[in-house]
Amino acid sequence: MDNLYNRKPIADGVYFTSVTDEKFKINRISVIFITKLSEKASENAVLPRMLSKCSEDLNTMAKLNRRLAELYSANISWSVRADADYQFCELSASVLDSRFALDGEDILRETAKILIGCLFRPYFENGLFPAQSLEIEKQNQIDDNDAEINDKTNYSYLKAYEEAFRGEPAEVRWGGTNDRVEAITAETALNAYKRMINEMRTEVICVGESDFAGISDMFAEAFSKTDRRPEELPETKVSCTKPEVSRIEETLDIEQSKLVMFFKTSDRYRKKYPLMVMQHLYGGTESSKLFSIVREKMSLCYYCYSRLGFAKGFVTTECGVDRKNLEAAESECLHQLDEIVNGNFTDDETEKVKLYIINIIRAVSDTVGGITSRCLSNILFPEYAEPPEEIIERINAVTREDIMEAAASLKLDTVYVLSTDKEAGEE
Amino acid sequence: MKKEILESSRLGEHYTRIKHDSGLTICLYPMKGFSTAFAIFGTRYGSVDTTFRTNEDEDLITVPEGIAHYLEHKLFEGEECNAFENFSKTGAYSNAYTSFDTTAYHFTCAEHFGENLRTLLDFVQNPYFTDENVQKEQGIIAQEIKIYLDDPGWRVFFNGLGAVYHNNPVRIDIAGTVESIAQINKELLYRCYNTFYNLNNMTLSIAGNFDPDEAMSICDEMLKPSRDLGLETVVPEEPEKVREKRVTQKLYCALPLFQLGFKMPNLSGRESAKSYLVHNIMLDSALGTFSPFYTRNYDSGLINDTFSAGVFRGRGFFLPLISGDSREPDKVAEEVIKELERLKKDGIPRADFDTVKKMTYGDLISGFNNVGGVAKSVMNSDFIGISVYDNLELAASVTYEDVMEALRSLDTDNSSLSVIEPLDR
Repeated sequence: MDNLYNRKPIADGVYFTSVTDEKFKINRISVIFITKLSEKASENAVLPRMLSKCSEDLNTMAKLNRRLAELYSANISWSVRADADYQFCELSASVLDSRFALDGEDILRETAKILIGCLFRPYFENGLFPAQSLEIEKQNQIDDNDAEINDKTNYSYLKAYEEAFRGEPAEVRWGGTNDRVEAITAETALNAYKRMINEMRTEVICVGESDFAGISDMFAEAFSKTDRRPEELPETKVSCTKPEVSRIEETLDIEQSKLVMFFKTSDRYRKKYPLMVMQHLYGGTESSKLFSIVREKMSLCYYCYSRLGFAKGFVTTECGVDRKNLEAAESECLHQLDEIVNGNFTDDETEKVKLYIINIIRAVSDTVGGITSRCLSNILFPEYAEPPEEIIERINAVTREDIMEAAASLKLDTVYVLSTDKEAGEE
Repeated sequence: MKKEILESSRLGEHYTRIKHDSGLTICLYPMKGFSTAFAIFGTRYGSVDTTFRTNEDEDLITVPEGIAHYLEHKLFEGEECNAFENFSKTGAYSNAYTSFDTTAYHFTCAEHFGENLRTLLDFVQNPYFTDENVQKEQGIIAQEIKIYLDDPGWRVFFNGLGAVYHNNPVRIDIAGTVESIAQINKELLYRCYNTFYNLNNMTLSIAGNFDPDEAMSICDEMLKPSRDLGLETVVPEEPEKVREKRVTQKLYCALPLFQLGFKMPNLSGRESAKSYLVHNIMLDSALGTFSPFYTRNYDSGLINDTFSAGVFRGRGFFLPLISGDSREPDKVAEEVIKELERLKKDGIPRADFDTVKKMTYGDLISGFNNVGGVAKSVMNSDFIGISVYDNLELAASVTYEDVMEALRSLDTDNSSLSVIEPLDR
């Protein structure tokens, strides 16, 4: 993998990766801190928010944002996400390539300096994050946690996800819990910051038109001043299927009911590519079983798809239907999976799905975000870090029997229903 | 056939715009180094086009709300198979969308570009509607409508448009309502198709990794010449003042959502392009992330990262909008208006204006970073009668006086506030 993307260590547990592609007009530097999801998730989640607002050098939000605007709308953004058993805390900078600067400024280097300032020289008052800013960002985090309900489709997925992985690190939300956010103090925030900078596994990934000469040295120097004692990053564990399917039903006063089913496999590594082809055949494209039967033929829903969570070894089924059609939708989604288990699909369908996946693999190199994600995925799963052409060969090598076996390995674990409390027929 | 090369010295790029003998405008924008091609075939037809006539009609025709979107769904259906099936034979990703003033069909592929372009040109030019397949779609679209009825972000937007406009059809949901789509039948769909899917009303835009000669040869072979029917769409007379000052609805959400809209006279086509840039520069200078307004209200907790200010525009509408989440949406509206009125008197600091102009330049250049974005921007620019590069030049030509004039002409009293309040769980 290290040779694939020019990845090199720049400090203990810190790696620098760069991908230069002259077709892009922007450059992006992503600094990603990776840790196991735990009760510390809430504290970790608030940090990137705080760090993206100002630094010792640019000590108010107005000064930081003005300086970024002067650099042709450079941007420093934060993101925190949970995937499998990990929490990813990211601060990234996107900036126009310096060749477009009207006065010959080196805007990439200037933006990198600002990013490094935000990360390594946060604005402190008396050695701590300012109390008022911390309270604002704590409240924003609580509001974001609560805002899960705004998008009912994603809310349903997250509720099902939580139930499917109950008792495992993966059940922890990206933003933790509101009570733990509320409990954060200036002292615990500082400790969390030190833990992030000193202990979390860190990947710096640069993608864009630049050769990023000098950027690696800037980060190496910044990390050399820290007290790195990297924590071990445990491997994500495969999740065991529950002995009995867990069914949860929640009722709200909404227009459309939602159905989410989680299936798990305990054999994800051996079946990665068969699982990928199978999931697309089942519900990953506009010619999939779920789309063509449940939506197009039965007209039950507008969206009906599946997604694959490779790291935890799961496949979902998700759809939005009238309450009176919930049973019919569930039954048909299960039936369509059985159809694949029983080999009721054509070679033509399989070939189409393979071509679709290959198209996606090739398209990854056309966006800065796509390349960044591919780098990170290869870093986390080095056993699958192969050049795209070799992955395509593996996709093409998947047989009908592999697909049937992958489908048969899926066991239903969790069913979540968000239903409207309106009487059936009123919807 | 008329062909012109459009160039940008700032970007060091060019593309070709062709008025094809069939009536279609074709824009070809090859992009070096990319693996994929993105092709989009669009028509100037959206949800606002509910009343129209051609030179073959005596009277104006009014059709049910949501029909442009319904037609988009149905066009994928063919006599033998649907277009998704054909795209899937090559692994291409295909989709379509309907907006207020545009319907567009697109695909992206890394291989088999020619086959996919044939599929695109074929299905968009060959509708196949039957009573049965039209009826079947009602259940699917009804479910799509219901998703948005539960979506507070969608509702705050449309409730806001409904509060600003009395008659302009932009106030109606793009997909229509469960009741309005029940009136749609195959005859109406064919009527709308034959009116708006005339090649003189359409643009094909292709960007990325493809061979322009191959694309033109396929177009020459497959495009069916269209006679210009002199299409006329009617935007109903719209009173100057907003319809309602404040509207509210309760839905499940964390914080109240708000949208403040300032009603302005409609601007369309080329004249809207510069005005769009001027108004956005004005809003960014006054309320953007480094403005005193933004930092003061962020630091007090009144607004958060969701706060945004920008112009919503299209054929027949032009509306500066301020939106976001806040515990006190009415106070946000009050503060926004107070700040805009203050700046009318004190003037926007010139340094802020200069900085926002630099930002705008950066944002516009960044827009040329991926094939899908370029193909869509080229088509949308063509629909308003400009080149995709004109925005760069127009932005450079915006003066401080333009921005102050835009600010002074904004009638802050003629505004509507839409609020979604959280429903108790």
